[in-house]
Amino acid sequence: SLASAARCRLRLYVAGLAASSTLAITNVTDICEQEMGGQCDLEVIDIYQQPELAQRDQILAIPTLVKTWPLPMRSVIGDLSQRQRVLTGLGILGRR
Amino acid sequence: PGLRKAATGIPGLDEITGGGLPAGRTTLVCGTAGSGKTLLSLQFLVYGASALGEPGVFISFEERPEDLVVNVASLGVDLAALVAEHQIYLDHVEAGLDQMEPTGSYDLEGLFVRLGYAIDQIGAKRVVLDTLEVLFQGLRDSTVVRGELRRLFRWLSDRGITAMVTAEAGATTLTRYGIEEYVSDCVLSLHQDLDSGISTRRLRVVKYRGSQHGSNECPFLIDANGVALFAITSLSLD
Repeated sequence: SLASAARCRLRLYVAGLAASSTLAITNVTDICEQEMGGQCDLEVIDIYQQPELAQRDQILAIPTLVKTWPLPMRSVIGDLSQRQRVLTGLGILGRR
Repeated sequence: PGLRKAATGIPGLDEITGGGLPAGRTTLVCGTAGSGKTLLSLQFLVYGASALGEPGVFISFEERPEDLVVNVASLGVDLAALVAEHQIYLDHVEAGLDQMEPTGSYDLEGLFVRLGYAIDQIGAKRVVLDTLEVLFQGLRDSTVVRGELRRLFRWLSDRGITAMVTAEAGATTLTRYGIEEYVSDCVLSLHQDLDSGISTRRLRVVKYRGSQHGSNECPFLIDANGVALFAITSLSLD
């Protein structure tokens, strides 16, 4: 549907309960709410639970946040605490 | 104590190192592009897998798997078969971090998980990481990379893995990013000298902890069987 096409799709790769991973989960949830009006679908992948995805999706740094939709796919690394770098890196305008 | 050695199967190299590389440790092989680093690391891995029953993981930061298969086919080695038989596991790391601006703290746990996963798939005893430089180019702040490299070498050694890491030669230092500071066990340097019009390839044992050796240089050639050193067999090291 049109609505779902407009929704942004994000995938966050974390590693267990490491500090930067848990912080990244909090930060991305806030970004979805505050910068994108909640219009985004977030998937969190723990590479300890699914190690094969680290290779399949070419993950090196943890955390890594990937915007899979809308195209072009973009990704950023780090605990997402520097919000402007997250928005710029993913090519998301955010709340103006 | 006898330092346990991991034979490389590379003619001459096992002789001048008194039996091979330090087992369960990391060896650094540095050299300019085209000096034979990748070939030497492939020979080390394939020999371990096919001759000594020690499966091996090859983490390639540059060459794609299909290039490696061709690279080794010229040595008469069927890499694809070794992969199919779970003797060798190839993982190509596209370190497309391309100067990313980190958005906060991070580490390279993805590399550790991929390595652990690959090792577990085949019960690997040997690992090669071909050209670590790419990690430094991909990430702006090399303090994270340096810390993670130190952690990586400890992680490999804790698992009793015999690892070989290749790195690009530096202009004035052994390697461009000074990785030699983190590898304390064994460092080999490959280079080519052009004297009086003849280019000779040489391998130098720069460092080999726990084993007396003159930091001798040994000419080598690359032929249909890969790297082969002209080790003067009378050159005994003990």
